[in-house]
Amino acid sequence: MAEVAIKRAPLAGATRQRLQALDDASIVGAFLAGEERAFTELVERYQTRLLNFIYRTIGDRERAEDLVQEVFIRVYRHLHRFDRTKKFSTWVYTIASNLAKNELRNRSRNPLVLFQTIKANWDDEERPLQFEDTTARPDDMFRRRHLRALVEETVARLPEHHRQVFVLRELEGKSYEEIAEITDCNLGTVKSRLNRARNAFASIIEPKID
Amino acid sequence: MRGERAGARVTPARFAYRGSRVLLGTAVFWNRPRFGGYGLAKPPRGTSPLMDCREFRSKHVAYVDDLLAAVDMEGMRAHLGRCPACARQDTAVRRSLMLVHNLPPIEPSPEFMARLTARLAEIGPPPRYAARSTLFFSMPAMGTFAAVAAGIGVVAVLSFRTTHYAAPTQIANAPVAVTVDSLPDIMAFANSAPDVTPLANAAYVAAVPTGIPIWPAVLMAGEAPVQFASMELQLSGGR
Repeated sequence: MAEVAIKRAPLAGATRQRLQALDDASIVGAFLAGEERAFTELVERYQTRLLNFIYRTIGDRERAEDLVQEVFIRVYRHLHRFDRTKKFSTWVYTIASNLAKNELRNRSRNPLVLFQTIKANWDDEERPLQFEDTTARPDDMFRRRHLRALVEETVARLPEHHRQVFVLRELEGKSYEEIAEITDCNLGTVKSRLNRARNAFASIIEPKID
Repeated sequence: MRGERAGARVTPARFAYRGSRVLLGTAVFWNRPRFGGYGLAKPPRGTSPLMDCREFRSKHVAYVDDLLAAVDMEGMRAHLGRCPACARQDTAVRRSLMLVHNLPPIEPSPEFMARLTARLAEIGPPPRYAARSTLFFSMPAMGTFAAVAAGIGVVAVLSFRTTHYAAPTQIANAPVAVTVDSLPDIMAFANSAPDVTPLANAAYVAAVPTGIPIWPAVLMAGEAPVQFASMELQLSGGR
Protein backbone atom coordinates (compact mmCIF):
# COMPACT_ATOMS: atom_id res chain seq x y z
CA MET A 1 0.00 0.00 0.00
CA ALA A 2 2.79 2.35 0.92
CA GLU A 3 4.62 1.40 -2.26
CA VAL A 4 1.55 2.17 -4.28
CA ALA A 5 1.25 5.50 -2.51
CA ILE A 6 4.88 6.31 -3.25
CA LYS A 7 4.48 5.30 -6.88
CA ARG A 8 1.42 7.50 -7.22
CA ALA A 9 2.97 10.55 -5.58
CA PRO A 10 5.70 11.17 -8.21
CA LEU A 11 3.14 10.67 -10.99
CA ALA A 12 0.81 13.20 -9.40
CA GLY A 13 3.72 15.62 -8.97
CA ALA A 14 4.85 15.16 -12.57
CA THR A 15 1.31 15.66 -13.85
CA ARG A 16 0.91 18.74 -11.73
CA GLN A 17 4.19 20.17 -12.99
CA ARG A 18 3.17 19.45 -16.56
CA LEU A 19 -0.17 21.20 -16.03
CA GLN A 20 1.44 24.16 -14.30
CA ALA A 21 3.64 24.72 -17.33
CA LEU A 22 0.61 25.01 -19.64
CA ASP A 23 -1.22 28.24 -20.40
CA ASP A 24 -4.92 28.65 -19.69
CA ALA A 25 -6.07 27.66 -23.19
CA SER A 26 -4.06 24.43 -23.06
CA ILE A 27 -5.40 23.61 -19.61
CA VAL A 28 -8.94 24.07 -20.89
CA GLY A 29 -8.17 21.80 -23.84
CA ALA A 30 -6.72 19.17 -21.54
CA PHE A 31 -9.81 19.23 -19.34
CA LEU A 32 -12.16 18.92 -22.31
CA ALA A 33 -10.07 16.00 -23.55
CA GLY A 34 -10.71 14.21 -20.26
CA GLU A 35 -7.89 15.29 -17.92
CA GLU A 36 -9.77 15.81 -14.64
CA ARG A 37 -6.82 17.32 -12.81
CA ALA A 38 -6.72 20.16 -15.30
CA PHE A 39 -9.78 21.68 -13.68
CA THR A 40 -8.10 21.52 -10.28
CA GLU A 41 -5.19 23.44 -11.78
CA LEU A 42 -7.59 26.11 -13.07
CA VAL A 43 -9.17 26.43 -9.63
CA GLU A 44 -5.79 26.81 -7.97
CA ARG A 45 -4.77 29.48 -10.45
CA TYR A 46 -7.83 31.65 -10.04
CA GLN A 47 -9.32 31.03 -6.61
CA THR A 48 -7.27 33.68 -4.77
CA ARG A 49 -7.59 36.31 -7.46
CA LEU A 50 -11.33 35.84 -7.80
CA LEU A 51 -11.81 35.83 -4.05
CA ASN A 52 -9.96 39.12 -3.70
CA PHE A 53 -11.86 40.66 -6.58
CA ILE A 54 -15.30 39.64 -5.34
CA TYR A 55 -14.46 40.41 -1.71
CA ARG A 56 -13.25 43.93 -2.55
CA THR A 57 -16.37 44.45 -4.63
CA ILE A 58 -19.02 43.24 -2.19
CA GLY A 59 -17.20 43.60 1.14
CA ASP A 60 -18.30 40.26 2.64
CA ARG A 61 -15.64 37.58 2.85
CA GLU A 62 -17.81 34.55 3.50
CA ARG A 63 -20.27 35.47 0.82
CA ALA A 64 -17.34 36.15 -1.50
CA GLU A 65 -16.15 32.55 -1.03
CA ASP A 66 -19.60 31.25 -1.87
CA LEU A 67 -19.65 33.35 -5.01
CA VAL A 68 -16.20 32.13 -6.05
CA GLN A 69 -17.47 28.57 -5.70
CA GLU A 70 -20.44 29.52 -7.84
CA VAL A 71 -18.06 30.92 -10.47
CA PHE A 72 -16.17 27.66 -10.68
CA ILE A 73 -19.35 25.63 -10.86
CA ARG A 74 -20.51 27.71 -13.82
CA VAL A 75 -17.12 27.31 -15.45
CA TYR A 76 -17.34 23.54 -14.90
CA ARG A 77 -20.77 23.36 -16.49
CA HIS A 78 -20.14 25.62 -19.47
CA LEU A 79 -16.48 25.16 -20.27
CA HIS A 80 -17.36 23.09 -23.34
CA ARG A 81 -19.08 26.17 -24.77
CA PHE A 82 -16.20 28.52 -24.07
CA ASP A 83 -14.66 30.03 -27.18
CA ARG A 84 -11.02 29.11 -26.82
CA THR A 85 -9.94 31.85 -29.16
CA LYS A 86 -10.82 34.30 -26.38
CA LYS A 87 -8.95 34.85 -23.14
CA PHE A 88 -10.03 32.52 -20.36
CA SER A 89 -9.27 35.00 -17.57
CA THR A 90 -11.53 37.62 -19.14
CA TRP A 91 -14.37 35.10 -19.32
CA VAL A 92 -14.00 33.94 -15.74
CA TYR A 93 -13.73 37.52 -14.43
CA THR A 94 -16.87 38.43 -16.37
CA ILE A 95 -18.75 35.65 -14.61
CA ALA A 96 -17.40 36.84 -11.26
CA SER A 97 -18.28 40.46 -12.04
CA ASN A 98 -21.86 39.56 -12.92
CA LEU A 99 -22.29 37.50 -9.77
CA ALA A 100 -20.90 40.32 -7.64
CA LYS A 101 -23.21 42.83 -9.29
CA ASN A 102 -26.20 40.56 -8.68
CA GLU A 103 -25.18 40.19 -5.05
CA LEU A 104 -24.99 43.95 -4.57
CA ARG A 105 -28.34 44.40 -6.28
CA ASN A 106 -29.97 41.82 -4.04
CA ARG A 107 -28.43 43.38 -0.97
CA SER A 108 -29.71 46.80 -1.75
CA ARG A 109 -33.20 45.32 -1.75
CA ASN A 110 -32.81 43.57 1.60
CA PRO A 111 -31.82 45.81 4.55
CA LEU A 112 -31.39 42.82 6.86
CA VAL A 113 -28.77 41.29 4.61
CA LEU A 114 -26.97 44.62 4.49
CA PHE A 115 -26.92 44.90 8.28
CA GLN A 116 -25.60 41.37 8.65
CA THR A 117 -22.87 42.13 6.14
CA ILE A 118 -21.75 45.22 8.03
CA LYS A 119 -21.76 43.32 11.31
CA ALA A 120 -19.79 40.47 9.79
CA ASN A 121 -17.17 42.92 8.58
CA TRP A 122 -16.81 44.37 12.07
CA ASP A 123 -16.04 40.90 13.38
CA ASP A 124 -13.72 40.27 10.47
CA GLU A 125 -11.49 43.14 11.49
CA GLU A 126 -10.73 41.37 14.75
CA ARG A 127 -9.24 38.42 12.90
CA PRO A 128 -5.48 38.46 12.55
CA LEU A 129 -4.03 39.09 9.13
CA GLN A 130 -3.24 35.96 7.22
CA PHE A 131 0.44 35.40 6.74
CA GLU A 132 0.96 37.99 9.37
CA ASP A 133 4.54 38.61 10.35
CA THR A 134 4.49 37.45 13.95
CA THR A 135 8.03 38.70 14.52
CA ALA A 136 7.04 42.29 13.77
CA ARG A 137 6.70 44.80 16.53
CA PRO A 138 3.20 45.14 17.92
CA ASP A 139 2.90 48.78 16.92
CA ASP A 140 3.94 47.92 13.36
CA MET A 141 1.37 45.15 13.26
CA PHE A 142 -1.25 47.50 14.57
CA ARG A 143 -0.36 50.12 12.00
CA ARG A 144 -0.53 47.57 9.18
CA ARG A 145 -3.88 46.30 10.36
CA HIS A 146 -5.13 49.80 10.69
CA LEU A 147 -3.94 50.70 7.18
CA ARG A 148 -5.45 47.58 5.71
CA ALA A 149 -8.79 48.31 7.37
CA LEU A 150 -8.58 51.90 6.24
CA VAL A 151 -7.91 50.95 2.63
CA GLU A 152 -10.67 48.36 2.57
CA GLU A 153 -13.13 50.75 4.13
CA THR A 154 -12.23 53.44 1.60
CA VAL A 155 -12.58 51.04 -1.33
CA ALA A 156 -15.99 50.01 -0.01
CA ARG A 157 -17.09 53.65 0.06
CA LEU A 158 -16.51 54.11 -3.66
CA PRO A 159 -19.60 53.98 -5.90
CA GLU A 160 -20.22 50.50 -7.26
CA HIS A 161 -19.29 51.21 -10.88
CA HIS A 162 -16.13 53.04 -9.88
CA ARG A 163 -15.21 50.46 -7.28
CA GLN A 164 -15.32 47.56 -9.73
CA VAL A 165 -13.08 49.30 -12.26
CA PHE A 166 -10.76 50.44 -9.46
CA VAL A 167 -10.39 46.92 -8.05
CA LEU A 168 -9.85 45.34 -11.46
CA ARG A 169 -7.13 47.86 -12.30
CA GLU A 170 -5.35 48.46 -9.00
CA LEU A 171 -5.71 45.06 -7.35
CA GLU A 172 -6.08 42.65 -10.23
CA GLY A 173 -3.82 44.47 -12.65
CA LYS A 174 -6.18 44.18 -15.62
CA SER A 175 -5.61 46.32 -18.68
CA TYR A 176 -8.14 48.94 -19.79
CA GLU A 177 -9.25 46.70 -22.65
CA GLU A 178 -9.81 43.72 -20.37
CA ILE A 179 -11.75 45.86 -17.91
CA ALA A 180 -13.90 47.14 -20.76
CA GLU A 181 -14.69 43.58 -21.78
CA ILE A 182 -15.38 42.37 -18.24
CA THR A 183 -17.62 45.28 -17.32
CA ASP A 184 -19.19 45.57 -20.77
CA CYS A 185 -18.25 49.25 -21.17
CA ASN A 186 -16.28 51.11 -23.77
CA LEU A 187 -12.70 52.19 -23.24
CA GLY A 188 -13.51 55.84 -22.62
CA THR A 189 -15.97 54.95 -19.88
CA VAL A 190 -13.38 52.74 -18.20
CA LYS A 191 -10.78 55.53 -18.17
CA SER A 192 -13.30 58.06 -16.94
CA ARG A 193 -14.51 55.81 -14.10
CA LEU A 194 -10.97 54.91 -13.15
CA ASN A 195 -9.97 58.57 -13.03
CA ARG A 196 -12.90 59.43 -10.79
CA ALA A 197 -12.33 56.39 -8.60
CA ARG A 198 -8.68 57.29 -8.07
CA ASN A 199 -9.45 60.90 -7.25
CA ALA A 200 -12.26 59.91 -4.90
CA PHE A 201 -10.11 57.29 -3.21
CA ALA A 202 -7.26 59.76 -2.73
CA SER A 203 -9.53 62.49 -1.41
CA ILE A 204 -11.03 60.11 1.19
CA ILE A 205 -7.90 58.40 2.41
CA GLU A 206 -5.28 61.13 2.09
CA PRO A 207 -6.35 63.18 5.13
CA LYS A 208 -6.37 60.03 7.25
CA ILE A 209 -2.85 58.88 6.51
CA ASP A 210 -1.13 62.21 7.18
CA MET B 1 8.74 112.47 -14.62
CA ARG B 2 11.81 111.99 -12.50
CA GLY B 3 14.19 114.85 -12.66
CA GLU B 4 11.62 117.26 -14.06
CA ARG B 5 10.12 120.10 -12.25
CA ALA B 6 6.47 119.79 -11.45
CA GLY B 7 4.35 121.68 -13.93
CA ALA B 8 7.08 121.82 -16.55
CA ARG B 9 5.84 122.42 -20.05
CA VAL B 10 5.63 119.32 -22.28
CA THR B 11 7.94 119.99 -25.17
CA PRO B 12 7.94 117.90 -28.33
CA ALA B 13 11.16 116.28 -27.28
CA ARG B 14 9.82 115.44 -23.90
CA PHE B 15 6.63 114.07 -25.50
CA ALA B 16 8.64 111.93 -27.90
CA TYR B 17 10.74 110.63 -25.05
CA ARG B 18 7.70 109.62 -23.02
CA GLY B 19 6.04 108.04 -26.01
CA SER B 20 9.06 105.95 -26.85
CA ARG B 21 9.24 104.64 -23.33
CA VAL B 22 5.57 103.67 -23.44
CA LEU B 23 6.11 101.89 -26.74
CA LEU B 24 9.19 100.10 -25.45
CA GLY B 25 7.36 98.93 -22.37
CA THR B 26 4.50 97.62 -24.44
CA ALA B 27 6.86 95.75 -26.75
CA VAL B 28 8.64 94.19 -23.80
CA PHE B 29 5.32 93.12 -22.32
CA TRP B 30 3.99 91.46 -25.48
CA ASN B 31 7.21 89.69 -26.22
CA ARG B 32 7.89 88.47 -22.73
CA PRO B 33 9.06 84.83 -22.47
CA ARG B 34 6.29 82.57 -21.24
CA PHE B 35 8.10 79.51 -20.05
CA GLY B 36 9.92 79.38 -16.81
CA GLY B 37 11.64 82.71 -16.80
CA TYR B 38 13.42 85.06 -19.08
CA GLY B 39 15.30 83.69 -22.01
CA LEU B 40 16.19 80.10 -21.17
CA ALA B 41 13.36 77.51 -20.78
CA LYS B 42 11.47 76.49 -23.90
CA PRO B 43 8.32 74.39 -24.27
CA PRO B 44 8.81 70.70 -25.05
CA ARG B 45 8.71 70.12 -28.77
CA GLY B 46 5.37 68.90 -30.07
CA THR B 47 3.25 69.89 -27.06
CA SER B 48 0.88 72.75 -26.70
CA PRO B 49 2.67 75.71 -25.28
CA LEU B 50 0.48 75.82 -22.20
CA MET B 51 -1.14 72.61 -21.02
CA ASP B 52 -4.04 73.64 -18.89
CA CYS B 53 -5.37 71.82 -15.87
CA ARG B 54 -8.28 70.40 -17.80
CA GLU B 55 -6.00 68.70 -20.30
CA PHE B 56 -3.78 67.50 -17.46
CA ARG B 57 -6.71 65.92 -15.62
CA SER B 58 -8.00 64.25 -18.79
CA LYS B 59 -4.65 62.54 -19.31
CA HIS B 60 -3.84 61.85 -15.67
CA VAL B 61 -5.04 58.23 -15.69
CA ALA B 62 -2.69 57.25 -18.50
CA TYR B 63 0.07 59.39 -16.98
CA VAL B 64 -0.05 57.50 -13.69
CA ASP B 65 -0.05 54.19 -15.57
CA ASP B 66 2.85 55.29 -17.77
CA LEU B 67 0.85 54.77 -20.93
CA LEU B 68 1.30 58.17 -22.56
CA ALA B 69 3.61 58.90 -25.45
CA ALA B 70 6.94 60.42 -24.48
CA VAL B 71 5.95 63.83 -25.80
CA ASP B 72 2.79 63.88 -23.71
CA MET B 73 4.69 62.68 -20.66
CA GLU B 74 7.02 65.66 -20.97
CA GLY B 75 4.08 68.01 -21.26
CA MET B 76 2.50 66.50 -18.15
CA ARG B 77 5.72 66.88 -16.16
CA ALA B 78 6.07 70.45 -17.35
CA HIS B 79 2.54 71.24 -16.17
CA LEU B 80 3.28 69.70 -12.78
CA GLY B 81 6.21 72.09 -12.49
CA ARG B 82 3.94 75.06 -13.08
CA CYS B 83 0.70 74.09 -11.34
CA PRO B 84 0.84 73.44 -7.57
CA ALA B 85 -2.78 72.27 -7.40
CA CYS B 86 -2.30 69.56 -10.02
CA ALA B 87 1.00 68.59 -8.43
CA ARG B 88 -0.71 68.11 -5.05
CA GLN B 89 -3.44 65.99 -6.63
CA ASP B 90 -0.92 63.86 -8.49
CA THR B 91 1.04 63.22 -5.28
CA ALA B 92 -2.13 62.34 -3.35
CA VAL B 93 -3.27 59.86 -6.00
CA ARG B 94 0.13 58.17 -6.18
CA ARG B 95 0.45 57.86 -2.41
CA SER B 96 -3.01 56.37 -2.05
CA LEU B 97 -2.38 53.91 -4.86
CA MET B 98 0.78 52.75 -3.13
CA LEU B 99 -1.34 51.72 -0.16
CA VAL B 100 -3.71 49.80 -2.39
CA HIS B 101 -0.94 48.01 -4.26
CA ASN B 102 0.62 46.89 -0.99
CA LEU B 103 -2.63 45.49 0.33
CA PRO B 104 -2.06 41.85 1.26
CA PRO B 105 -4.28 39.40 -0.66
CA ILE B 106 -6.75 37.27 1.23
CA GLU B 107 -6.53 33.52 0.76
CA PRO B 108 -9.42 31.06 0.53
CA SER B 109 -10.29 29.10 3.64
CA PRO B 110 -8.65 25.64 4.02
CA GLU B 111 -11.92 23.83 3.34
CA PHE B 112 -12.61 25.75 0.12
CA MET B 113 -11.33 23.05 -2.25
CA ALA B 114 -13.06 20.25 -0.35
CA ARG B 115 -16.41 22.07 -0.49
CA LEU B 116 -16.00 22.78 -4.19
CA THR B 117 -15.07 19.17 -4.95
CA ALA B 118 -18.15 17.95 -3.08
CA ARG B 119 -20.40 20.30 -5.02
CA LEU B 120 -18.87 19.28 -8.34
CA ALA B 121 -19.36 15.61 -7.45
CA GLU B 122 -23.06 16.31 -6.93
CA ILE B 123 -23.26 17.85 -10.39
CA GLY B 124 -21.69 14.83 -12.04
CA PRO B 125 -19.42 14.61 -15.07
CA PRO B 126 -19.31 17.78 -17.13
CA PRO B 127 -20.40 17.87 -20.76
CA ARG B 128 -17.36 17.61 -22.94
CA TYR B 129 -16.72 17.67 -26.62
CA ALA B 130 -13.77 16.09 -28.34
CA ALA B 131 -10.91 18.51 -28.55
CA ARG B 132 -11.18 20.48 -31.72
CA SER B 133 -8.59 22.76 -33.05
CA THR B 134 -9.46 26.37 -33.41
CA LEU B 135 -8.74 26.04 -37.10
CA PHE B 136 -11.91 23.98 -37.41
CA PHE B 137 -14.04 26.91 -36.43
CA SER B 138 -12.45 29.14 -39.00
CA MET B 139 -13.13 26.87 -42.01
CA PRO B 140 -16.48 26.66 -43.75
CA ALA B 141 -18.77 23.93 -42.47
CA MET B 142 -17.74 20.57 -43.91
CA GLY B 143 -21.28 19.91 -45.10
CA THR B 144 -21.39 23.11 -47.09
CA PHE B 145 -18.01 22.36 -48.53
CA ALA B 146 -19.07 18.86 -49.54
CA ALA B 147 -22.29 20.16 -51.09
CA VAL B 148 -20.41 22.75 -53.12
CA ALA B 149 -17.88 20.15 -54.27
CA ALA B 150 -20.67 17.75 -55.26
CA GLY B 151 -22.46 20.50 -57.15
CA ILE B 152 -19.35 21.37 -59.07
CA GLY B 153 -18.84 17.71 -59.88
CA VAL B 154 -22.39 17.30 -61.16
CA VAL B 155 -22.10 20.38 -63.33
CA ALA B 156 -18.80 19.09 -64.71
CA VAL B 157 -20.27 15.67 -65.51
CA LEU B 158 -23.38 17.16 -67.13
CA SER B 159 -21.35 19.52 -69.26
CA PHE B 160 -19.09 16.70 -70.34
CA ARG B 161 -21.99 14.50 -71.25
CA THR B 162 -23.80 17.27 -73.03
CA THR B 163 -20.82 18.17 -75.21
CA HIS B 164 -20.16 14.50 -75.82
CA TYR B 165 -23.77 13.94 -76.74
CA ALA B 166 -23.89 16.82 -79.22
CA ALA B 167 -21.42 15.05 -81.50
CA PRO B 168 -22.10 11.38 -81.14
CA THR B 169 -19.53 9.15 -82.75
CA GLN B 170 -21.68 6.13 -82.64
CA ILE B 171 -25.19 5.25 -81.78
CA ALA B 172 -25.35 3.60 -78.41
CA ASN B 173 -28.56 1.83 -79.14
CA ALA B 174 -29.66 1.31 -82.66
CA PRO B 175 -33.26 2.25 -83.19
CA VAL B 176 -35.67 -0.57 -83.41
CA ALA B 177 -36.53 -0.70 -87.07
CA VAL B 178 -39.32 -2.95 -88.17
CA THR B 179 -39.35 -3.79 -91.88
CA VAL B 180 -42.37 -4.89 -93.77
CA ASP B 181 -40.86 -8.20 -94.66
CA SER B 182 -40.14 -9.13 -91.10
CA LEU B 183 -43.70 -8.83 -89.90
CA PRO B 184 -46.38 -11.36 -90.86
CA ASP B 185 -49.24 -8.92 -90.60
CA ILE B 186 -48.09 -5.40 -90.95
CA MET B 187 -51.61 -4.06 -91.36
CA ALA B 188 -52.70 -5.49 -88.09
CA PHE B 189 -49.63 -4.11 -86.55
CA ALA B 190 -50.09 -0.72 -88.13
CA ASN B 191 -53.61 -0.42 -86.89
CA SER B 192 -52.74 -1.36 -83.38
CA ALA B 193 -51.00 0.99 -80.97
CA PRO B 194 -47.45 0.50 -82.05
CA ASP B 195 -44.99 -0.47 -79.41
CA VAL B 196 -42.23 -0.29 -81.99
CA THR B 197 -42.62 2.46 -84.46
CA PRO B 198 -42.18 1.52 -88.14
CA LEU B 199 -40.68 4.96 -88.72
CA ALA B 200 -37.68 4.38 -86.50
CA ASN B 201 -35.41 3.85 -89.47
CA ALA B 202 -36.90 6.93 -91.09
CA ALA B 203 -36.24 8.85 -87.93
CA TYR B 204 -32.69 7.66 -87.98
CA VAL B 205 -32.29 8.77 -91.55
CA ALA B 206 -33.77 12.13 -90.68
CA ALA B 207 -31.67 12.52 -87.59
CA VAL B 208 -28.28 12.10 -89.13
CA PRO B 209 -28.15 15.10 -91.48
CA THR B 210 -30.03 17.37 -89.12
CA GLY B 211 -27.88 16.58 -86.11
CA ILE B 212 -30.90 15.90 -83.94
CA PRO B 213 -30.12 13.14 -81.49
CA ILE B 214 -31.69 9.84 -82.39
CA TRP B 215 -34.01 9.47 -79.45
CA PRO B 216 -35.94 12.75 -79.91
CA ALA B 217 -36.36 11.92 -83.58
CA VAL B 218 -37.65 8.47 -82.67
CA LEU B 219 -40.09 10.01 -80.20
CA MET B 220 -41.31 12.44 -82.79
CA ALA B 221 -41.66 9.62 -85.30
CA GLY B 222 -43.47 7.59 -82.71
CA GLU B 223 -45.95 10.34 -82.16
CA ALA B 224 -46.52 10.83 -85.83
CA PRO B 225 -50.02 9.89 -86.90
CA VAL B 226 -50.18 6.17 -87.59
CA GLN B 227 -52.26 6.66 -90.67
CA PHE B 228 -49.24 8.08 -92.47
CA ALA B 229 -47.37 4.92 -91.72
CA SER B 230 -50.36 2.90 -92.81
CA MET B 231 -50.63 4.98 -95.96
CA GLU B 232 -47.00 4.47 -96.67
CA LEU B 233 -47.32 0.79 -96.24
CA GLN B 234 -50.45 0.71 -98.31
CA LEU B 235 -48.79 2.62 -101.06
CA SER B 236 -45.88 0.30 -101.02
CA GLY B 237 -48.34 -2.55 -101.04
CA GLY B 238 -46.81 -4.02 -98.00
CA ARG B 239 -43.58 -4.68 -99.87
